[in-house]
Amino acid sequence: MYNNIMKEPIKKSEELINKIESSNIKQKPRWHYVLENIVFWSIFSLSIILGGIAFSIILYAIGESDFNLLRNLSSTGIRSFVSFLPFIWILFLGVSLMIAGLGIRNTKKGYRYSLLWVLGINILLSVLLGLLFFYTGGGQDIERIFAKRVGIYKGIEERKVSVWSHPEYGFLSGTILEKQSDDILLLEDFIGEKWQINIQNAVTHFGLSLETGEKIKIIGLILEDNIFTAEEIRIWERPGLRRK
Amino acid sequence: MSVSKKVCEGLTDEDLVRKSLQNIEYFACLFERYEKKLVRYILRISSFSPEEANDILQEAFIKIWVNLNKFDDNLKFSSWAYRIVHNTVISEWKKSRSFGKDRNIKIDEEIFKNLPSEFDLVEKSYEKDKIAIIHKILNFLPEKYKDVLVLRFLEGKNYNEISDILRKPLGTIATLIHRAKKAFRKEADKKDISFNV
Repeated sequence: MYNNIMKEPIKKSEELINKIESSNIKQKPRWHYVLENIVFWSIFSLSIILGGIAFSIILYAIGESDFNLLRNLSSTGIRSFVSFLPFIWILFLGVSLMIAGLGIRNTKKGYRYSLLWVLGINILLSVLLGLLFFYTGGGQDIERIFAKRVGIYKGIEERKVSVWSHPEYGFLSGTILEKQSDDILLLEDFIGEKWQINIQNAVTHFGLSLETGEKIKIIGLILEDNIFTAEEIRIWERPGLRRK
Repeated sequence: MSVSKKVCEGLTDEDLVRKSLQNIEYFACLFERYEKKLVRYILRISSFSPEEANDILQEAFIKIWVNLNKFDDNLKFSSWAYRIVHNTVISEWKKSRSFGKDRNIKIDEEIFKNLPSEFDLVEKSYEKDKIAIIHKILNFLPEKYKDVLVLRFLEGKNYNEISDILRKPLGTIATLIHRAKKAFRKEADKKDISFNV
């Protein structure tokens, strides 16, 4: 290309400037990039928070799943026990970690960190936050709200009730209505049926008061209709999760 | 009004970026400073003709202009410019691929046949034929290896700069260079040429 007046070749730099000016090409404002960076950091932070919530719910579900019962469970019991595992929250945690990784990798200097490093940091932050949520009961509360609001989701509490509502297999649970004597409790299960529980030879777990209103789970045997002999009595909710 | 070459020479890239935001003439200085280097880089990593390379460079500099406010002082301008040029080459190559074009450079077979048998790839002063053989061998390598080798040995960039240009972690760059050197040596061996990589 040539300059019409001087008849000299136009420098490429002039061509570039002419193109920018003639096409009125504008620069994107600085705030655009600041906002972009904020968006990616927010995606990262939000994903870490969601990952923390998911991790706390996984801890809650694992804590409530009574793994040591596996040997006592029949095939039906095992099925309901497996359905008790928090697959959805494990998936949710995985997705959160991935989104957090994408968020941080898209920040200004995110590319400098390896995938392994990013994943490690994400896991660490989610675990720390998850532990915090778990011990303050936040994760549990969110899970309950989730169970209440999302129709297709079966909450951990509901699953626990279904695992511990099989007196025919030796698993019973409910609320203590009355302590009739040192050896006999009156219990109302979660379906509303009343049971007389013989606790004379039962092993009671640490933290149990066996007072009216307390929720418990029992391993034992049905003696007669609505009479159950307890071999082991467990606390319904782990002490670390109970609040108030 | 154009800014004199002398004024530009006394300024760093980062100064020129700052001044370009106020006065577009300084942007011309930036372009002139990198024009030859970047056209050469485009030709090294692609099979585009010099004319096409110039068009790609112009397009890349328009992107640089549009995103000038994004430039981060913690990064070298040259790394940023190389990154944008690299990405523009890739996107242009993707567009042209549908017309049967590939990223591999075409080397004259005669030059290839008459090449000496031993080179030092780390050596900076290359003769035309040495560069030709290097390109030829690079063409047999996967793009990811070719990209790092061009940046490291032909463009003389250090690991940090390559990491910033390709937006990959430093460790990944080190691994890629290590593997690329091995692949390069293997390819050179197949052609009975010894390289000191």
